[in-house]
Amino acid sequence: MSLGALLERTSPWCGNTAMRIHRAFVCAMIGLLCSCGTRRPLRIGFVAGLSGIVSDLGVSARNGVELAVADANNAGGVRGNPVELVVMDDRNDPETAVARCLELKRQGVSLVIGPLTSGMADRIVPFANENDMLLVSPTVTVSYLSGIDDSFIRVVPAAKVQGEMLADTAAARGLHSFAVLYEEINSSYSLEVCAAFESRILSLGGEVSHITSFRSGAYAMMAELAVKARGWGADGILSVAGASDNALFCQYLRKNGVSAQLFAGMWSMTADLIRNGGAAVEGLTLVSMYDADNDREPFLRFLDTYRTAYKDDPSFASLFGYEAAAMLIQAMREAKSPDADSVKSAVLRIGGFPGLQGDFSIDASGDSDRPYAVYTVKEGRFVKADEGR
Amino acid sequence: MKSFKSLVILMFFFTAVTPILIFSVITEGLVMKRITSDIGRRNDQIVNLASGEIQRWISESENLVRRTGAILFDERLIRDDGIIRYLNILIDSFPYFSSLMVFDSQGLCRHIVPYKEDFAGLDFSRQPFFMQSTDRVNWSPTFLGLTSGEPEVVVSVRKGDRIIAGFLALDELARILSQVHVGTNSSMAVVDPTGTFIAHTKQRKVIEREREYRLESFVSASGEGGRWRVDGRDVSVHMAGVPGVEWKVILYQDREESLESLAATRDAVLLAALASIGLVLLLFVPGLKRIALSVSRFAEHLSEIGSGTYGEAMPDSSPLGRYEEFNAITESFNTMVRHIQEREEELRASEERYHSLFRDSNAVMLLIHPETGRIVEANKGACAYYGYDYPTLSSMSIQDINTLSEEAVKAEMASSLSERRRYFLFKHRLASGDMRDVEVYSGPILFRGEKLLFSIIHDITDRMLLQQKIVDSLKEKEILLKEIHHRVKNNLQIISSLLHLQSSYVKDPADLDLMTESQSRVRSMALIHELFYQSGNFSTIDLRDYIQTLYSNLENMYVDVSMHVQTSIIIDDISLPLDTAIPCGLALNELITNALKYAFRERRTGSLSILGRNEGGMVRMTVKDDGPGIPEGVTLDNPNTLGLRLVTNIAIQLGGDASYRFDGGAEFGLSFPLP
Repeated sequence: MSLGALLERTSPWCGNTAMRIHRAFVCAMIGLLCSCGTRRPLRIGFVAGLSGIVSDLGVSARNGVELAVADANNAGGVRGNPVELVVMDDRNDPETAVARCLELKRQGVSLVIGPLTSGMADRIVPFANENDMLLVSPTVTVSYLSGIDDSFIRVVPAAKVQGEMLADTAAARGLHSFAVLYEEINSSYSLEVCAAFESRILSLGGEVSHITSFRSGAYAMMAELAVKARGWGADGILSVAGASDNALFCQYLRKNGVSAQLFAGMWSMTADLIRNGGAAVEGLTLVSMYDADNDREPFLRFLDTYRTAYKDDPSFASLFGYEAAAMLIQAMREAKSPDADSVKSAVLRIGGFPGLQGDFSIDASGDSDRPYAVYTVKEGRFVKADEGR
Repeated sequence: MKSFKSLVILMFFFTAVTPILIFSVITEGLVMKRITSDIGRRNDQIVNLASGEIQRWISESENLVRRTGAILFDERLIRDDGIIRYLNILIDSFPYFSSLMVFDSQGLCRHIVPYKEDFAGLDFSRQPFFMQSTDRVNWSPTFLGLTSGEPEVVVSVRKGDRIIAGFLALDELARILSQVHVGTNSSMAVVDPTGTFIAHTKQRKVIEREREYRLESFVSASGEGGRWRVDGRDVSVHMAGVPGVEWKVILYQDREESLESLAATRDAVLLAALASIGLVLLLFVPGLKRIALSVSRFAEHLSEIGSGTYGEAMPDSSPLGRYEEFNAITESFNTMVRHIQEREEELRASEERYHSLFRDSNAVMLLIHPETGRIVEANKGACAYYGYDYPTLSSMSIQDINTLSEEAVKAEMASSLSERRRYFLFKHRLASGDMRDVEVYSGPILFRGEKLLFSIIHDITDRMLLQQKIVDSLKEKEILLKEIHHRVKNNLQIISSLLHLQSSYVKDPADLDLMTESQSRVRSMALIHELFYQSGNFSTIDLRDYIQTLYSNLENMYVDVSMHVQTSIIIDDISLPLDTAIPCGLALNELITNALKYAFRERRTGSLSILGRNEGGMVRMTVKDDGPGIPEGVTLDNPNTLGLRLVTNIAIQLGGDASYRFDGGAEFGLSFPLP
């Protein structure tokens, strides 16, 4: 036991003035006799929606980031300094997300993992650009942030592909008419997927008869839409929303006898979709980069660790959260200093990173390109389909 | 530590203040340790009580679900509206559930209380709580509520083809925790087996589904709990399990806050320490101040003494005088000061006397600055001698008086200053313009802390004139004496020449021999005058030079080319005056002539040695040859020749004696005292 620890055990000092006087005196008395050097932790932020109906994404991503930080600290941290994670809940609200980033900035944290949804990215990417912060997003896929030299790096490709692949899959199944729904808060993403889907469907000779939106948590509205859907006569319905929202909407559709094939974006691909969707989400088709059946050793190790720690299965957000954090920490190790510019330069300089399910690369604009795949819910699991690219 | 005052203060600090502080720190440390231990035990009791309360809460909720399940088993006996009414009664009567739901075997929602229209008929078959449900009560893991967006925990039981699920009112758990007052910065929580908060006094942590990931590292130490940092604060962690559900109740006790209630104790210790220090200061500071003041004044007095202002080192009124340890010191200093004052008075009187001697003396004296030559001080004699009044003379420099160049004067002063020379001869210029010869005795002295040249000037103009006259007179006499010697020598040479001329008319060899001897004697005397004349020394003659020249002359006269005489002349440094040199010369002339004439007459060869020794004021001359010696019967007392008689007479005249002996040859001795 160090002398400092012994002191702490025998004399539990407090923070008021009297105690500070005592503490100063005692420190002065023994200061020359002992020195205790603790490495200063390097702090990185995590900003995501950790509360509310779409918090499944944020929580599973946070879990992945926590594992990456733990792995990094077990490997010696960054040049001997431990990495400390500062977690902030943006409540899936853009203004709150900005406030959280500002708070992190005030705390001297300029490296942030997040946001997780494009709706948050709309607000905090400009803030990060203006405040010398670096955002590393595990899941934001909105296309308009691609090809820009900004303070935003992401480990997933643009969302547009999701819509196109879903359209190709639907067309390949011989479906012709579609209804499209998108969530409003994260419309940057959901609308982009829908727009790409519509564009591709039209180009393939199909039709999109209905395009409408709903707001996360507005279950009455979803139920009402489900009733209306009976009259749409669509062969397929694309609903781009969070897992719980989509699960409930699918239940409403099936409850109202809508038998159209259901499609969803990667956003919905979490365990909550299956838990909350029940039999209604059986056959639902999604596009994602996360393969729950991947058998690569790093992923299997990650899977085991995750299950042990959280008694649950990881989602794509957990995987990309882990990879985003691991990438950021690797860049911090190789950067000249832990400031945003240096770390960003290090990321771009390194370029290629080892992923859990396969290596990935970051281009000069901080964007990634990985292959999507088509998945279908079968017997309560996401099963990789042979369809798609 | 140069300052005595600082040393005293430092010693005071270490001997008085430090022990008090150390004592107070140790005391407080021990007290706080004890109190902390008590708090730790109290906190353990709190979490155990909370755990017990939650366990009771869980048991109650389990019982309710179990009883409800039993009732549902007899559903056929109860109509749907009866079930709804029953569930509503449960919800209204007990605080354990936020909602109660009944599912059929397919997982479809059959009943929900409170009623939610949208939930009717929804499929929950994939929910873990449904999938895990058995005839026994099951607790689900924490999951995100379908519509609440918050964590939820379900307790369920399967009865036949029906499943009753109670969604726990986790906020009620939080209410139980909040009933325990743990402080503003402290908190309590309940976590599920994964560490996820399902209840927390800080609701945010539940809503954000935060997780306590340090459960496995928790180590409780002697009732004080573990030590973690939570939200940037040091907390003591106390934990208790909830049996049956593997939940844990955690108390995060903020360490500062936990000890805030003990501030009074802490402050009392601190106050006591400060009071003790204050008391010590109160007692010590006046004394310290008095000592410091006294020492300071003592130092001031000493400083004054050091600068030449003599007062008492420590007046009687000084506070230091109260301490007997200082009395000896102050007495010594005061005695020393009195001695110094007496010495100074004597010195002042002495200085006055010496100054008077200097100032009023008729001897000419100056004090001169050695580098600039400025006349620092001039006495009355100097003013009178040089013809200047005091102000004028004391404003002049020595270069104004001395006729040497300025550089030469400075060089002489430097020489005097370094004490290489003390005596100088100069020409000084008087106010009247007269030039005077002066001799100056000069040397360095310290005057008012400055090194000056003290010069005593004697006018030697008259003496110099007199000396010059003596020198001139001496020169005249020397010339005269020289002339006399010259003329005597010339006259003796004339006599010698006349004898030589006369001898050409002498036919008888005996007569001729007499003439030759006479000529030789005259020349021996002339030689002495010649040497006086040539040497310039009119008082003495060098005996060695004389004998060598004399022998050379006699050799010319008596030794022809057929003879070979080996001669050895060894003479000490002997100087003889004229009245001794002439008879000595005559005697040696006789002895050398005698040897040259008779010792080698038959053999035409032989040796001759002439020795002259100065033996303690007695001159001992020896002329020795290796000839047959003088005829038998002839002695110095009974000489048969004029020559031997002359030798004997001269020896008597010189106060000495002559001797002869035969030792392988004739050996004549002549001894006489040096004049």
